[in-house]
Amino acid sequence: MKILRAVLLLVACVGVFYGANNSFGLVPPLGKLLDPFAGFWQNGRAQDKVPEVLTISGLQHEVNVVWDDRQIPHIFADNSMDLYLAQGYLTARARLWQMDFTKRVTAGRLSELFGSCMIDSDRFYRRIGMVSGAEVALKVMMDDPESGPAVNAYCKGVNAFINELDYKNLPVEYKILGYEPEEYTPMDVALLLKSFQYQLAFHGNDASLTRTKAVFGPGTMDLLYPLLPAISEPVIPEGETWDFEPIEVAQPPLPGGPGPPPGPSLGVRDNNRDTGEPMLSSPRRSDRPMEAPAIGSNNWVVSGSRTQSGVPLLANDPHLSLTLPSVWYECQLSAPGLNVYGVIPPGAPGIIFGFNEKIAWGITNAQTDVLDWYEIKFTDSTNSAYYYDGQPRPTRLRVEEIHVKGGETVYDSVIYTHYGPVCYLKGEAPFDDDVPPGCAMRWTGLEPSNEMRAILSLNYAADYDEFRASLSELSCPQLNFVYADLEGDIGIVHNGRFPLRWLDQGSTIMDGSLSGYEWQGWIPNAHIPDIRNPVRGYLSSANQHPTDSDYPYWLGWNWMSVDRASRINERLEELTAATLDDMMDLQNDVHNYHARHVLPTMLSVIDRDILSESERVAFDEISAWDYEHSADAIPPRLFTYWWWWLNHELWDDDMDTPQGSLAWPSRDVTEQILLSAVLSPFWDNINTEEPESRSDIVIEAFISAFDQLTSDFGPYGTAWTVSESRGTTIRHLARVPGFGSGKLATGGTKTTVNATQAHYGPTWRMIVSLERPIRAWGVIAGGQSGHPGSQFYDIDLKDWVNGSYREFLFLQSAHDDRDRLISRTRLEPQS
Amino acid sequence: MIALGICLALMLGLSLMMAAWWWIMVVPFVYFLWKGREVGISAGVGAGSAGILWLGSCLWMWIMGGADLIAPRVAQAVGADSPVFLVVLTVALATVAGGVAGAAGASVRIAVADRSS
Repeated sequence: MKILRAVLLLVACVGVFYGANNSFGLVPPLGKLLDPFAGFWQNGRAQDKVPEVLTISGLQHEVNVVWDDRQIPHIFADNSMDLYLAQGYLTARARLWQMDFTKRVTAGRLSELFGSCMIDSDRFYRRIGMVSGAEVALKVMMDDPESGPAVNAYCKGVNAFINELDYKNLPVEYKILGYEPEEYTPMDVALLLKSFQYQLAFHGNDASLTRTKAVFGPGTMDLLYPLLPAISEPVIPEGETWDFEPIEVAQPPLPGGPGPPPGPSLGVRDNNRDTGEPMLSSPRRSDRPMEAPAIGSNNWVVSGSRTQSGVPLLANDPHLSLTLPSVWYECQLSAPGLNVYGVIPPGAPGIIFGFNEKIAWGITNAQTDVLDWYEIKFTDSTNSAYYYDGQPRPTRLRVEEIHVKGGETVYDSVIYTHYGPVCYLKGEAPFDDDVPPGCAMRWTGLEPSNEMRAILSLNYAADYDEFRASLSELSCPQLNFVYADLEGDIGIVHNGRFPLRWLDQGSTIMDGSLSGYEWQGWIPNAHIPDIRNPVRGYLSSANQHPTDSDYPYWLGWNWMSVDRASRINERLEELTAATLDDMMDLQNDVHNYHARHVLPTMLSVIDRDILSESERVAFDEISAWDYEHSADAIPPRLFTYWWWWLNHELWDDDMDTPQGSLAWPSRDVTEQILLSAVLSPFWDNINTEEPESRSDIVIEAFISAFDQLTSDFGPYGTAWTVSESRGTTIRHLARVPGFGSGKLATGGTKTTVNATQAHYGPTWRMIVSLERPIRAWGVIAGGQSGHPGSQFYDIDLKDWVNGSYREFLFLQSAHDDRDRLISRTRLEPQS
Repeated sequence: MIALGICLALMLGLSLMMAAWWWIMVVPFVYFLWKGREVGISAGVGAGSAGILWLGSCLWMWIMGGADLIAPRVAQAVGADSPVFLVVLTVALATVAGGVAGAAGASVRIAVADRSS
């Protein structure tokens, strides 16, 4: 009996040990996690303390770090290699888990952490060539005498930190998700840059537009999806003349353009809605349903001739997915010949945007179409070759090995053509609807290039020529760089490597079997759109079209609407003696330019008497709205819903086709039809017998919006305000509950300058005054630390919501004594 | 009480020397393998010493280690409204682990002693 009891208790003992020491599915090992001596309890504020002296292997000389009150490191080194090594070490201290996780997402390795539920995602990233592209970029980056050593030094710094870690010191996400960091390599830097390229430059709706083109006739296509913008507010101000001789571009090999490739899935239907109305010119863009998130950014620069101080002011706020840990790592880097301050995604050396002692620069996404699709005709079912100009051309097979937690390894064969990968074969369901099955991808993000070298040399640039020379190396993502310097010069460059194509080439899927559809080379760097010191004294960009129609090359049509750009330029035009406060106000501006444009017409067609009593209250309030998309206002939400329902009522009868649901025409087109095309046949719902008019649709949309708001948030009242019914929640990068922010009371929307949305918005705000020495102010959407238990994890969030700023401390030496400097650390070489 | 004090001191010392959660099982198991007389008492002492150690330690980390920010976040991550839940969970795990280990150690000792006598 006693033996049996002993055996049973021993088994129980082993069972408890095994259960607490191991993870089960997504449940982490509880013994390790809850252990107060090593588990999550150790991940508190104590992690914020940085020793006065740290010994780091790989350093050649001592490096001095000064910490300010936001835990921003100001790093002073005797040489650039020590500088990048220290940057790697300190970034890893604050953001190791974020760096590691970003890399795993891009490399398609989440199944290793979360199991089979992530296989489709992993397969997608691998099939679009993230890993193979990173391998190509790695070789170029590491062969370069500038970027190679810098990246090596950075990785050494990261690994020096990793080697210091034991379980107790691991970032808490590792403990919760139950894995450990691995060695950081230059390939991880290449993957990080691929991730950045994917976020900003992997876009386009060629597949959707191809379907649309197959459904509608050419007249309707021109009407609903015209090539040129309706409201011209280009990045390079209108009227700019181009002082170069353009390269001649070959025209389509078939009369009438490429058209949709033949195939049973595409079909052709014209809904006989060619109206003969004059072409509404607007970019080809598709709006998504209500509240669909939008990334984008603002930047602008004002010449000293239009500022109160007489020196240029430069502003930048990039809008991305808002996450905690914050998207950017902020720091100052100083070494002989270099003193630069700004931010970079954690995981790579240098500063991607900010300022040095002579110049400042900021970025917005250029939105250029640099991703095209080619339908591939395989010679047989083995897919080992495809037709190209009538001849078979062999494919190349790349086998991706996806390790799965708790499951068997998945081997995924990806077919490569000379264009790029065939991401999904016909019959396969793509992970992303914008990726057409049976087509090969050509994307500038997979071309050999060395963005790292561009970033590093940009940090040293001292004038406009050096700035432009640095940018010539930056191929992808394509970005609008705004510029200002101490000499008073300002400028803007629509930068990147752009394929040379005929007008409209690549907006739909092209025939991959004919060489005539190939990209025709590259737009020469000297021909890319830029301008320096314009007469009007200011420049801006907000992801809109880059040039007017005089620019001789085709750059695409997938631009964002001009609402933010128009509002920025409207305000900058008014400011003849701009101040720092003006710049801050403009970055936080929530004036809804779009609503100001369309709402009076929408209101004018409604007969108030037909509304119910409660609808009338809402109608009266929106009639009196001042177009401020403020956190505590109700009309902005009613307008958002009303506009969505208007699109729904106007377009869905035409766009829900047997071929699938087509993208709505761009907002500009809808605006033009609303404002000018009162008798447009599109107002009629083809699914009803009675003909509908514009006012029928607008009224119906108003009532539907009111009903939906009532259904979603209860009776008309404070629950309908922007902050209550939407607000902003900043989610954790891995969506761990509790590791994000609570609901923040924000205003703004994607069409206001302050483009804060539910989960997207300005990830960082920066304003630089080009005085001597340069001064700058800003705020980050979160904080400097990546540790959820740190006080610096989300320390800036309150200021970010309130539109407040802090001055960036741009030190001239490690011995500067300024307020808000709180501690110093000496990094010593390991002897 | 002496046994509880010895176990507590050993667990604390070993955890400070080398952080490993399983000290709360190893110490009572080995101690009662050596000294165990009754399974029930051994289980109680194992559970008590482990529970007290982890309760005190997580409260220490809360107050002195600045775990006041991380605990509410982790609590939400595991679906709890309050970090108190985590304290309870931590102590419960320690109590179960220490108790089972103490009982197992004592029962083995008793079984072996019974067989040799």
